[in-house]
Amino acid sequence: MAILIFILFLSTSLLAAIPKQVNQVRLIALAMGVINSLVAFYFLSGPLFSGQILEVGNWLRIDGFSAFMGFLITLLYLFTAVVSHRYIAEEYHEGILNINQIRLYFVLLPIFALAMLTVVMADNLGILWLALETTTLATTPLVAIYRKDGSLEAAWKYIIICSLGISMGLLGVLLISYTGISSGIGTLNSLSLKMLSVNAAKLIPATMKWAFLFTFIGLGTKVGFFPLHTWLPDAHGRTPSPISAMLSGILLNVAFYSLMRIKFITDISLGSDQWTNNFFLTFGIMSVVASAFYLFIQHHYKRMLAYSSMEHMGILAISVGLGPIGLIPAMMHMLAHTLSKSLLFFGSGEILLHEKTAKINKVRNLIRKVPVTASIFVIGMFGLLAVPPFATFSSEIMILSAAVTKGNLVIFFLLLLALTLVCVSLLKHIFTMFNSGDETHQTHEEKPKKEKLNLSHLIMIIQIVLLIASGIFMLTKGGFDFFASIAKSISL
Amino acid sequence: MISNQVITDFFASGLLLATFLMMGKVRLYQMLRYFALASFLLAGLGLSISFMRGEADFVPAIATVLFKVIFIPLIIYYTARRRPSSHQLRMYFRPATTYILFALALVVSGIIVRNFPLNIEGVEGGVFLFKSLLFISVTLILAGILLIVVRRDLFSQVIGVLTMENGIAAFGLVALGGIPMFLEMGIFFVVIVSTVILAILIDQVHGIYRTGDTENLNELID
Repeated sequence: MAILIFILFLSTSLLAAIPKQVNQVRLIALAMGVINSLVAFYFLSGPLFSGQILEVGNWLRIDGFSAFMGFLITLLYLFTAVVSHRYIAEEYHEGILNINQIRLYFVLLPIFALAMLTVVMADNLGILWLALETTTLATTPLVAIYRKDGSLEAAWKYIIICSLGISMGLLGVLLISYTGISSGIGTLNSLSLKMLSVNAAKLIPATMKWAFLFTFIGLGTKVGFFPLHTWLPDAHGRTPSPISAMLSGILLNVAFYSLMRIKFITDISLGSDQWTNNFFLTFGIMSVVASAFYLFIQHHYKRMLAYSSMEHMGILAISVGLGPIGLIPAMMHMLAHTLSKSLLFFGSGEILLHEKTAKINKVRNLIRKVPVTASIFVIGMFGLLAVPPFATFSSEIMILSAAVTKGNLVIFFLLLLALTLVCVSLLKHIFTMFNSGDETHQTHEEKPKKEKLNLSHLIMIIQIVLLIASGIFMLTKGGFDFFASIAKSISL
Repeated sequence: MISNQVITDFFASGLLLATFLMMGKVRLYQMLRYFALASFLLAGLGLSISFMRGEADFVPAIATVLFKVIFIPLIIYYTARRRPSSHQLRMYFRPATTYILFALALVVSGIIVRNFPLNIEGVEGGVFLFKSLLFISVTLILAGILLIVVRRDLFSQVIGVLTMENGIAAFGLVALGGIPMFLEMGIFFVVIVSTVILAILIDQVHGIYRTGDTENLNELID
């Protein structure tokens, strides 16, 4: 079945490269996107809901956590395939993209999704590293796809900084392998997450500290922790919006997933999680606080969403850094962030298509000009700002509670302050874009066209429903137990 | 008869020297030649270490020569040939300062290696060889980072990333006695694809700005 997934995703890439008509490329990508997602959902449902562990040789291993991440990747890939179907057609009709660029887009999209799926399914650290690097290689041409000065700059920074980071990560992986070999578990086993977890107590603690340090810096660059984040707002801000949704909504989570896997091996080796938790807490709080200030001074609404992703990665890091008590809300927050951030990037794409600019001060009166998009976007923004009953509310309230339970009041107050600033900043920008408008500029003859409900809106509405449903589900006993079982599978 | 140890020392010191000389070069083709030489010496180092372990593993050495000594320099060469303005490289510091910074990198490497927790059991060639090779690999990694930071042209930054990758490959030789084949081949694939993507980006950046000066890439700031 795992092989079938690989064949399907790669076939989608190949098939998207063949047609000469834009509509054919879009249709193939959409149809295959739906088929691929259904097969992947079916494959992942076993480990996710029944707790079984699937193993394919020594290479792939899918436990509850992997399946959960795989589920999020597949869900977002499906949404992106549908939204791209519309978004790319609009950009083609406006002459922004040509047929070659569109082919490139739809060739790389399934490779990107498959690379992320491979990261979360890999049992071998070498495979995990290669797949993570493949995500960078698959998305760099997508960041540069408009071939304008800003996109090229963003793509350049993205590939250079992420390659640098990922190389550090490779050094960390090799160090883990070195300590594994030194502990006598064999060269290939020294790269297996399962074997490393089983033998973690034998690994040399001093070397594992170095290994964790390198992987934290390396993968932390990919996660977008402050101050390693410099590529993130550029890349996420300059990419076609559906890809921004995937980059922000799930790729950051995937990098975070990799970091968590290595953290738990390091913790067993050190005999305590205190040392690694300090890293997560420090970088987590720095990322949340820094992003709060960046958000306040933001002039570009896609960059604003990118900085918000940095903030949410910080929240995730804080949650994980709080120890086992924070793991369950961390799982919840991953789901909440994936849904809310992708929703807003899809929405930002709709705004960009209409307004032709991503600058906040040049976008006015959206609620009148594009009422459907604006309404959904505002509701989605409430989701991001953790307003009840959205999933972000459930996860963030549990993270704050975990901080209090652990007696970490400094973290609690800093987080609360930063979240307040984030909230004020985002609302300020949204208010500017949606309500204020210079009425004198609107003449009688340029009445706004009535906006129709489209495919992107439909997906965004589904995401809102999922955000609310999952938010309520998280607060039930069944929901809590479900996320607890996922969190538990990390340490097994 | 020259012993394996002497050959290994020759390749290891040559690798360090070639990287050192590369650091201050201001002409792209000169820099590229030193990078190819350093990669060739890395291939030789890998082969000599495999001989010391009694394995005589030619595949990684051949792959290194093919990819890092021939293909990658050729990709960069053909990209640069289309853009004559890129042949003169740009730096934030003078070459002499770059060499001094490289010397500082050597000191930092020494400190890192001194504090590195070693498990020497089973390491062929003894502690001295292990530490020397570790020293070289850490230096190459730092040199790669240094190139990215002190140079302000696109080609130098690419060579910086590749130099860093050479350092990691050297670390793989030291710590693991060679990186497992599937990972080694995967890394080569990644390096080749990265270089192709970077070359295309360089071409597009030159197309817009008429220069490869990274100072022009300053539109995206908050």
